[in-house]
Amino acid sequence: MLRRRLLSILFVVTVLFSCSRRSGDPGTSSGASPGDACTDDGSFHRGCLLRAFGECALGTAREFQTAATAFDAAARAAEATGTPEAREAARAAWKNAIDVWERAEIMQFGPAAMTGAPGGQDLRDGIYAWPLVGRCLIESQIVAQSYDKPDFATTLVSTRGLAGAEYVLFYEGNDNVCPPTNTINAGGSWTALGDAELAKRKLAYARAIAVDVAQRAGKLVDAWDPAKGNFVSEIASAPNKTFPTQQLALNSVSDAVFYVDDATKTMKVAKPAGLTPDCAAPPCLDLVESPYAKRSKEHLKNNLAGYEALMRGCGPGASGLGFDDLLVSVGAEATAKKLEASLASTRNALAALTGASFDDDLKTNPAGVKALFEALKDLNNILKTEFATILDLELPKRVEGDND
Amino acid sequence: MTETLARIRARLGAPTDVAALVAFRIALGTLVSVSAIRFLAYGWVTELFVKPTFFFSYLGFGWVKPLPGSGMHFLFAGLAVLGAMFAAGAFYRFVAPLLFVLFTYVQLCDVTNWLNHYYLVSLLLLLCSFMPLGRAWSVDAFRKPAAKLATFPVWCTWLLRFQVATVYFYAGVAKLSSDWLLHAQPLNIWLSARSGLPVVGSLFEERTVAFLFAWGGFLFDTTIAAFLLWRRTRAFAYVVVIGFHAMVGWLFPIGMFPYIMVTAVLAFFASDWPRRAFARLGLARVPAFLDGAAVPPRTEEAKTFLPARLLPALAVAYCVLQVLYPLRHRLYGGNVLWHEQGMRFSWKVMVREKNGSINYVVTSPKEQRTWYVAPRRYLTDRQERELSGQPDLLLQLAHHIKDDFRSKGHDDVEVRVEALVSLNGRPATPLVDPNVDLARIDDGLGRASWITPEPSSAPIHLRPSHRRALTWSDAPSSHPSGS
Repeated sequence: MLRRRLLSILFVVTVLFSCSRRSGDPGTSSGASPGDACTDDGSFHRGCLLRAFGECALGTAREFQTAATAFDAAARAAEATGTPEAREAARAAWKNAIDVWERAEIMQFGPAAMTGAPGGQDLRDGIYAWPLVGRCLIESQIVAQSYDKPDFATTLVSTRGLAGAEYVLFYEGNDNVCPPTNTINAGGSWTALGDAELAKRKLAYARAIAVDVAQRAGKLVDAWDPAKGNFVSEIASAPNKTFPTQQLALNSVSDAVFYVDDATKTMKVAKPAGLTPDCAAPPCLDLVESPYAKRSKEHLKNNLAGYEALMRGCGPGASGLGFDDLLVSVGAEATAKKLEASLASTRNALAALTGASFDDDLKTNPAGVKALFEALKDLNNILKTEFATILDLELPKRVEGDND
Repeated sequence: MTETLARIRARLGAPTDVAALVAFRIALGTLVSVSAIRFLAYGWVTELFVKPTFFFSYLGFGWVKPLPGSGMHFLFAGLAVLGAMFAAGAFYRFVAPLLFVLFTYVQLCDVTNWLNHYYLVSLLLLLCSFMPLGRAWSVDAFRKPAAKLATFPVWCTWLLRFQVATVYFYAGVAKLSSDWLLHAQPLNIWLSARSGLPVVGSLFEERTVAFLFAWGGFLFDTTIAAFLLWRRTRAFAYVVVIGFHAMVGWLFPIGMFPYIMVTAVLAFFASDWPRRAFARLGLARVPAFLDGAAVPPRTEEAKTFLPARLLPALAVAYCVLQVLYPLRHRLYGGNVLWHEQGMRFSWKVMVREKNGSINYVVTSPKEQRTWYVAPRRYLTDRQERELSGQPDLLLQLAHHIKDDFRSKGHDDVEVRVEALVSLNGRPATPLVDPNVDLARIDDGLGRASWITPEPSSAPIHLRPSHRRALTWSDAPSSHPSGS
């Protein structure tokens, strides 16, 4: 009898709890359905945020596709005419494209993520594989003219993408970094090219890369596009097959945000500055991100812009939903403010580097570069501690545990 | 006195039905087997034992290292086989201790693999190694009918019950903190993050629900053993156990934990419950078949692997250790969830949400250079996550970094760590004194003065996200520019 009563009470409580959802809650709590207007009732839910992330990634991918298409056209023109003006135009188009992509670097979730991550299609490396850049391999391909072969798009990513294009478009020297024993040096085929042919082939190589990158940009847009792959809905409608829980979808975005730790802070700033053991005698200019186009500082600036788009909002003036909205909505305004202040400090530290290029700053203003590193460190400290804790965000591939 | 001891010994040596303990043996062996297969199937053996280049050791167990090459894969395959043999009671006398040793060896390979429930499995296997559980309803019993036992000594049941009750009780005691009971943390954080679950998800953002879970969990852990011990409430308590662990397993990624606990609790049931269960299913012939030919009562039934005189003393020592050891953190003072001294082997299960940002600062006065070393230079992502809140692991890695730098010619390096840690959503504060050269600190059992005092602030209080009205400017842009 007692058991029956208890069971009845349990059942009633469960039903009441289930029915007690506010009438104002948009849709189900399981995410935003297509067409779900997130602000209809002035409320906030994670599905809206995920949709905003998806739309941000799609918008950035579209912007990149436009820039990549322009780069494709400019690279074709440079190859066709071979004039210095056309080459400059191709360089300018490359700069436009990489500027957008450096924002997209932070958005490596969904289709841009590695295979194995939820929805990952490994589309990033084909567009920009840095730090995987094989200059000797590229130089070997210049000699062999492999860039014109049908399988070019399947060759090593370290010979393609925007990083490869930077070398062939911006490096004007006629030397190579392959060892003397390499066939292009041992056989004399590199020297035999001559300066004019080398310049011509580099432009042809740039065109091959630009064509490939534009195609990949199209694939990325298609994957996100609501009319095609529609990953925007996939991420917004979590839980689903791709994201078994909504939290996993949020985790996939936060994992992407941590690009500012490993890549921006450590690889792009600390390593060339000799703040890590990778650099024996600082500065290590060979470790900068953009050794030929000297765009390393712009890349950092754009990384921060991409970070801001996810953290604060993707619209003009950082309007729109971002992680800060989630923090504020759950009562962690202090952490949201800390993150905002930390971003501002990082931008100030970057702006304080007034050298002609990051290389110059590394040589003449190591204290300024260290200040930038410290600012990035502070920002990442907040991300890894309060941000991750409050939103219960976890590292990718975490296995099961019971101790916390 | 002697008479009392004799009476206690007689009572503990009293015969009891083999059925329940055999069921326990089968369930535990099967769980070990399934667990090992899961590790192989999910690639965790590679992830946990092959990929890492550095392994954290338990104090005094620095000599324990994973097997090279495919060794760990073979070991896990072996565990799967041994688990099955344990379940079947095949060569039990050798298999049980071997399974205990190998299973424990796996746990000792790397501290970052620490899981309370695998520690429990190790202990249960250890206890089973001293029990004659392979001498009934087993391959051994069929192989050697002469060695078959009709009953087991009742101390076996009580020792297992004691072990499981200890786990629950101390898991409850661990919740006896202001964070858990007065702030409902970390449950408020964990449940809020699960607001996307169908139907009940939105409720999880309510602090009231977090408090319900917090107090419910506390009361469950501290009292469930008593309800399981009392025959009249046992069945209902078991339903609660199943419900509790099913819910925990549904909400959190804790793998085998619910299965292990639901299995371990079987120790509380009457010794003949499998017979009654078979009878209810109309399969009363099964236990009869397993019993085989009648075995005459044997005087040595209370004896196992050790002399009878030694066994009670050992059992008492074990129980005292199990009762006292989880309390050792009291000797260190402060908040164990912060300094973690005495955290392991104490059944502090799911009581904290702790994340840290770690940067080692290595300096060479001679070279006048400073390097910032990220833990991921030496660790996998998972190891780094575990490292970030555990001071003794931070110390171990500091020593490894020192050794690594010295091997590369930087023989005068000092290693400090900037370890900012957030406990249950508090503002991040240093866990370790950033001015202390950890290269000069040796790990030990004493109070670690290089660990900073716990933060005095209260943990964060989260509110339901849907209660906050957004301004128009927060509306998602339909044409994001990605500025």
